Amino acid sequence: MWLRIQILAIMAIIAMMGIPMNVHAEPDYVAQLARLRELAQKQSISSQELAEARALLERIRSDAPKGARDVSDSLLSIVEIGKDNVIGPLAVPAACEKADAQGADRFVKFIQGLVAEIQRRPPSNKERSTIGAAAVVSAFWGEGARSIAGTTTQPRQLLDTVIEATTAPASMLPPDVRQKALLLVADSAIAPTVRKEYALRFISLRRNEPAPNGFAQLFSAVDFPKLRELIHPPNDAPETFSYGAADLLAHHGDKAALPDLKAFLDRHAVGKPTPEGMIRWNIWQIEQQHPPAKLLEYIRGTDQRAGEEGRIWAMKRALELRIDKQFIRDAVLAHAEAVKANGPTYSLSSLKKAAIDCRVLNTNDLPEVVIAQSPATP
Amino acid sequence: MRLVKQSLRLKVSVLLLSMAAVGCSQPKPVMPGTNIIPVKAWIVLGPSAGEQIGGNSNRGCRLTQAEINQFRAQLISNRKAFSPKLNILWTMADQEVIHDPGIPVFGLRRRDAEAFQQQVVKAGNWNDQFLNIYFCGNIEVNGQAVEGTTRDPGTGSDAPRIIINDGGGTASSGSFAYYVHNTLEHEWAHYLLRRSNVPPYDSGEHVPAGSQNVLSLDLIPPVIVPSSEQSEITTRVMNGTWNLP
Repeated sequence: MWLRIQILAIMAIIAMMGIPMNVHAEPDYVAQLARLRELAQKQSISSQELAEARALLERIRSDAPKGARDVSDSLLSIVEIGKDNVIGPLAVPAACEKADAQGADRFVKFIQGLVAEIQRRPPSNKERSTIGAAAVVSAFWGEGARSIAGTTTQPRQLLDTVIEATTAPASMLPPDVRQKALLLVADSAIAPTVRKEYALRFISLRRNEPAPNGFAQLFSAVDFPKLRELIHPPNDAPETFSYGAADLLAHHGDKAALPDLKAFLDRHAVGKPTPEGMIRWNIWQIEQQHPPAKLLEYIRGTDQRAGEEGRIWAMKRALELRIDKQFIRDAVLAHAEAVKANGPTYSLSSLKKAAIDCRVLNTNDLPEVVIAQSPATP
Repeated sequence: MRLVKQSLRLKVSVLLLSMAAVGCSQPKPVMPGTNIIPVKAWIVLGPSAGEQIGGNSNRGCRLTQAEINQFRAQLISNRKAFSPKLNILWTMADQEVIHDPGIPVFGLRRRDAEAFQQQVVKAGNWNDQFLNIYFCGNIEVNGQAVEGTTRDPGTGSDAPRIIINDGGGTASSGSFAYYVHNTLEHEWAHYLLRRSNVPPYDSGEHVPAGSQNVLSLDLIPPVIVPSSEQSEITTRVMNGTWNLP
């Protein structure tokens, strides 16, 4: 009898211990994170393990809460541990997406450290130690960095890292990744005034480059005096002329920049194919906006001096200047008709794609013009 | 050694001529029954006849001949990473300088990959007896700057080829030779590894297991190609079944 009571008591205790364990059962993502951590610690990864890691990351991204400290810390440590096998770079988007403010700040510091590490040991160095660093940094500058920009309490530190990585020698980042990094300055959750300050810093540091995509929208007439200084070099030294500033002023149609541009063209650019082409383009952009109806005239015609690139710019600028969309549409269609009458239409494909993106055309327009569907891979 | 090389060159020439004689119309850069891939390099300068190889502010390619030679030497020294059986025949004679009339002389230094394919590659600047590699200025894919790009040979696409940019981007001057990123090896791997039963633009293509380096998210030496892919390349090369992988 006494034995039975003892057994029942022990069973009751076990049952009581079991109840709270059931109530606080670990969510699935805890085990998934643990497994991912195991994979990140491996020296090499098989095809099956890679597929498993991808599936785990997908489930973590859909199930794990955003901003939970344990998830944020765990994913960041997986990136750190797995940076030398393929798991680290793969985990970057999830780690950025789930980071809380403190995690985002840690992530920014981590990326800053990796950028410094790559600068100390450039990619031409065959040591494997920087391979993981470069892979993680490359993976960071997409959707991951955009999430972090909205979460971090240190946006300037993040933009400092962008400037460091994008103004370093060309060996630092592949060009597509560099473009993505600069988009963080052009358009992200960080305050526009801060981004404009960094945009100015970039064009001052990289004077032989045109303004990156999206920078023009950060600037307005109040910034023109500062930009004009950058295209009026002291002592007429050509190496201090900023092609980026010229680009921004030209985009906005700043007539006051014309004398400096024309003087630079005559003294330093004529006969050098690319500088000459760029300055002539800037002069053309300004002249084309006075009056703005000239933009429509160019779109409609078959003048190819500025190519389809020029036509796309004219279309977008006309939209920014709030020219009636129907007029712009008519001009694009008139141009397409003129091209079709003269031969092959492949030159129209990029214009058609841009016009659809800007909602000037719809997908049913110009059915005979084929838009290339990713014909080649980088 | 020299005699062996000369004899090999002779055999290659004879084979090339005989292939040309039977009127091969499909792209066949691999010589069946041999282990050789012949390569032809095209240096694509801007539209102005005044542009020279290595011109620092060219609208077209700004790479110097020495840098192109370095690409070639590095690829040849890395060839065994793709397959222990693989040999590459790429001589100075198999190089041609052309001017691309479609690079705008006015505006940013940019050229769309698809327009380049239509206006330059398919307009007679392509040789179906070679793997054609184009050294260019700033060819962009869907508006995106790239180090290089590959047109898939595995799905029988028209005029498959590799493009290597000079790294100058849209900048007014200067260039950067991407051989330090192993870019040619990266594109070469795309070219060699494409399978006809796998969508060529699979999003996972840049992170294959075992090839953390050459097709992975980074582009840094050394070249690593998984052994399964190495054996597949060997089979293709030895059988010469390049377009039926």
